[in-house]
Amino acid sequence: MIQLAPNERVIFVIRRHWFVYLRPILALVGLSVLPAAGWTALSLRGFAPPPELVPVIQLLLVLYVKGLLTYTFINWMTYYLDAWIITDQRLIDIEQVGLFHRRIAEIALERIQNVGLEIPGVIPTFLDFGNLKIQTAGEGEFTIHEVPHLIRAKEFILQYSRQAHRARAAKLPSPDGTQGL
Amino acid sequence: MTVSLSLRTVLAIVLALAAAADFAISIAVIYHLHRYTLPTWRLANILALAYLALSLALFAAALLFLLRMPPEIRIETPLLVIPPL
Repeated sequence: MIQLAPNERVIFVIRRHWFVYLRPILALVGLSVLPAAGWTALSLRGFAPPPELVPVIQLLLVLYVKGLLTYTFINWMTYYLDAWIITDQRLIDIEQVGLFHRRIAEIALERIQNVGLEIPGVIPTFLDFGNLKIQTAGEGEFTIHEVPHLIRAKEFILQYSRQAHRARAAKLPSPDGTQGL
Repeated sequence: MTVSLSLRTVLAIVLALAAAADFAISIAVIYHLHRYTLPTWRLANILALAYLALSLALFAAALLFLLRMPPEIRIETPLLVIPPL
């Protein structure tokens, strides 16, 4: 499990926009329709399998369905685990590239200096998704790709990073030795 | 020169290989869903179990169809002879 600090609270979780997964979705729909279409085409040509071959066809069909199920589940898992978790202390970026390939990075909210956005093209403009570019103190720029509801996500991250800045400033001692605001 | 194989035996081997591969993938998926999620993401664990149950059901169906298959169906395949070097 992803471990959070005892006083850490998850504010929201962002997952990639569904449009990114359109290609596997279309492939899945096409592959699902394929056996039915093939069977219909053969039936229209008057093909009927000999009775002793029916269990063979059924077995191959079940294995095919099983393959589709695995394909769907792996794609869903890649979607589900590829997430950005924004807590009241940090931003955790989990990039699930494949079944055994992932990158995890995190930034403390108080290190975020600016959040910019990029909407790269016509489809992202209409479907409201794009890239968030987060500038941090000391660690350079950090890009989160294909974020849905881009402007709202940017506002949220900025809002919580400002809160983190204020909380940090309040904890820092002032030059005269007293606690901050 | 050809060799004659029972189709049922061939498909039983295919089924065993598919089941072994699927078992490995299922374990990997369940491990990932446990390791890289937050405790509040219950959907992951529910769907992992649903996937496992569906997989078992499909393999049971495949086994049933395999058992229904007449053993006398045979496939003829050319015997692979590796020439001496």
